Amino acid sequence: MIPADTVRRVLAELLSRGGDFAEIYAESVRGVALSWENRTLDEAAAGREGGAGLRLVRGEETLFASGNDLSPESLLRLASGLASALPHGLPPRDVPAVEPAAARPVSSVEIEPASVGMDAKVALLERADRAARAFDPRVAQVSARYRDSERRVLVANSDGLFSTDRTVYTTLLVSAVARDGDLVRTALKVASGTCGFELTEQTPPEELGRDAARMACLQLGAAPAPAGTFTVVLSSKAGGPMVHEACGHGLEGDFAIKGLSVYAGKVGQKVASSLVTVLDDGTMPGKRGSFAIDDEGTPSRRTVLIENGILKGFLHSRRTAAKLGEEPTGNGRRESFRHLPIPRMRNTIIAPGEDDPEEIVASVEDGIFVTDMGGGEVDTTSGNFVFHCTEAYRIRGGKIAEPLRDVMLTGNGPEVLLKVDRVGRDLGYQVGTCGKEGQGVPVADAQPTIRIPGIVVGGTTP
Amino acid sequence: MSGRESDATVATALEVFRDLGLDGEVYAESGHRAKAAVSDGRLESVEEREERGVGVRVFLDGRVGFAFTTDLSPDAVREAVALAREIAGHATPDEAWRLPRPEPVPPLPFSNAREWEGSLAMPRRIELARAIEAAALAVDPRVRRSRQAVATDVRGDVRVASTAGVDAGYRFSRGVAWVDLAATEDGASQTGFHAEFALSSEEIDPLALGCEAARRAILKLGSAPGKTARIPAVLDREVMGGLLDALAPAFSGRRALKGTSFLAGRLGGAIASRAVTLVDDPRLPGGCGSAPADGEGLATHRTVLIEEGELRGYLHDTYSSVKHGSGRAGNALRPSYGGPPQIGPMNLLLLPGEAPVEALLERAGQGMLITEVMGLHTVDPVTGDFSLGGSGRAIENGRAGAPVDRLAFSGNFLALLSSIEVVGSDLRLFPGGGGSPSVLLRELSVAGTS
Repeated sequence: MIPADTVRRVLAELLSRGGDFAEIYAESVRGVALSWENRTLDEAAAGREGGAGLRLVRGEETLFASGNDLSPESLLRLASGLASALPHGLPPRDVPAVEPAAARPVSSVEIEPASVGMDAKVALLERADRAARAFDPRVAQVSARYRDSERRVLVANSDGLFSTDRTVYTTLLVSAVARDGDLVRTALKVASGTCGFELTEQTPPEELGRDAARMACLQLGAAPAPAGTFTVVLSSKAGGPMVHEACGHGLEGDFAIKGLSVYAGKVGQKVASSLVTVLDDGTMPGKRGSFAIDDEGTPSRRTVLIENGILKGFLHSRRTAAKLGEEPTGNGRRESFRHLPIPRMRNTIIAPGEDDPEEIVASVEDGIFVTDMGGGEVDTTSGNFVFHCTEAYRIRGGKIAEPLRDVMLTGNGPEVLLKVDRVGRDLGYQVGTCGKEGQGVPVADAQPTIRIPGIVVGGTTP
Repeated sequence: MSGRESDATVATALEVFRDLGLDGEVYAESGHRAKAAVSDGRLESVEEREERGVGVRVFLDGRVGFAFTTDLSPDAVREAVALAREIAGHATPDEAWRLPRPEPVPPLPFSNAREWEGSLAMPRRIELARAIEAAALAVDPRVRRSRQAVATDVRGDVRVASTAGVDAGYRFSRGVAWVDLAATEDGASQTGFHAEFALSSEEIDPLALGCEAARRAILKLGSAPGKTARIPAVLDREVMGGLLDALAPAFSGRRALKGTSFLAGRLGGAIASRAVTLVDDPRLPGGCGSAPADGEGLATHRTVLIEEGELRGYLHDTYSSVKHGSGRAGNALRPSYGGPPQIGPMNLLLLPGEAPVEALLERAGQGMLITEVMGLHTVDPVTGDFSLGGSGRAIENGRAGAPVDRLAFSGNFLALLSSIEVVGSDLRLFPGGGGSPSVLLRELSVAGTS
């Protein structure tokens, strides 16, 4: 992408007036996005983009510049602009001569998406559409999206790190609209991972189409959610948006440093039920939040955040780790070369426990069983979070009863995690794109079936 | 990329289209963004971004394909055109896919850009961020720290041209500043956030911005979970603005065609109370989203979407307006050169009424003032259903009282719009474009802990 010699010259230019740390991050992304709606290929786009972000750190200050032009002249101009922005010039610092090394991949690609013809990709969308419509005559509209991308990165810094990496993402998404008279309901199903076109064989489009159709039709007959406080069982099928919102964001190092997380200063303290262990793992092959190195070149790893209810640590970028005197955890991520890296989640997981998932449902006299969750949001400072349940049922007398719609759960992260009193031995995943400070990054989250007594449910029936 | 480079890219693309005998459109964008972030009185980061890119659409017998690149060399542009042509070959034919017809694009009757000198002019931006943070921290000892105070400037240059003769271009600049802070009392913290914008960050008043963020955090201190009830509610203008943003996709003419909007088939029908008039006004003086031309190079214009409660129209791009056989194109958005045009409003505006927000609270009597919501990205434009979390203050005897949080409320936009009894006079234009005043809802079902 950029010759090793240019990389060294740019780093040297960045440190030409002193500084503690210099970094170049370059990226080249190629992608295809297909959108199917109303039985037609509605939108098709492909392209490539690339650029570099240069970082110069002195003391607590970070200077950053980015641009699309990867020519040596342009990169050196950006570097010299940053160096000259330092208020006081100091003697230049040496940059070690290092050869680039390719990071050892975490995920493998069996079928390169770029080797697959456009017709085969379009055909997936048509297959999803047909399966969804065939499932039930009440399916009135189907949208499907296919995306693949290949991201090549180069990270080099003045500490002698010089790594390159390549990640391939493939995503298939189906949304169904079901209609019964005036009543309209929608459902969405997604498969996505750090893998190639094989994703569409492991999760065939028909399966996603039928599942979206089933959920949308189920919602047609769903009763309005009750409003109030209930015992809630979150099925492993729903994956982990709850752990992502209720504790994941609050454990990101930047919030912790500034005392803006409800978890700040609580390492070693009990912040969750002793049944709860939370991990953030970037090394799981094929998962959407996996990668070999983070966007600062730190190798990905498995990080224990909460162990048997005790807070063990935070998710760190280089900067937040240094500030707390800890090791970077491989969570320094950026949406693109345009952005500074900040601590972000990868694959965030509540570890499985010992209970039988069916028995957990059977243990609830009157409550709510959640089997699919949509998006959520958290205020890390107060710990208050919300998330939207896209498939949920009432539990009556230990049995799964009528489906519910518009179920919204709200609560306070630590309070809710302390209340968890049953943890199943199963584990289910969900994928997503997490947004923070205007940067979106691919993530996954997972959890076993868990029981939470006394969580607020926002519904329409008092 | 200077204007000249952008012109060269556009010329190259048009030449390639002609060489290959293709109907094509090129969209070229270049921008420069600068940002300063301060925390605890210290400079945290300065950032500078130079961005440029080009997107091309090729129209082939009622089929359309799109491709983009950030490499502006003639070879890369040629490659992008070839890719767009290949993609068009796989598209489903529909005769409504055609090149937009050129039309005169009147300039905006007000300034939409300020020149800013040099590459950085960073020191003033740093000073602004510091001043915002200092103003916020001086409000009250309980406001102890800010997560970040930020001042940014962006300036951009956009050009759209096609083989059909469209040729539009404009420049814009915006300064946006914000502060995100926390107030602490009795060991519990609450956040406060506020943002302001202008054509340049220099024109933003740091004192007013900092004080508003601090005020928002302080008012939330001591929040207790709310009660489950069906009560009158006042939605703060920021909250109403967020809801309108989430509602915006439902006005897309393309969604109306496909039945993926809850507003499909309701043209001329009552979808809101008579107090509601909603417009998209891309030529609004002082609007953050204001621009003379849309993403297809067509003149922007004011569109009445809801008039005194009745649905009057949808938003259109060329495809949608041809397909509907009515409605004027001009609402194609280009969030980036990296994607084809999307339909959306540029300044979605709920027209203000005459009552100040105090009068709304008084009229509510006993109820809830909602000042923040969470989970807006879960709003479904197909059904209009929403389920949100929120916080605010109890309305007691017509005044805002004790702070309340961990509220949850679900509902449907049609019911919400119909429940609007009074639209306030406190219109604010938002940094994301558009604007809204506060509104009084006859009734809202909220869930709490008891």
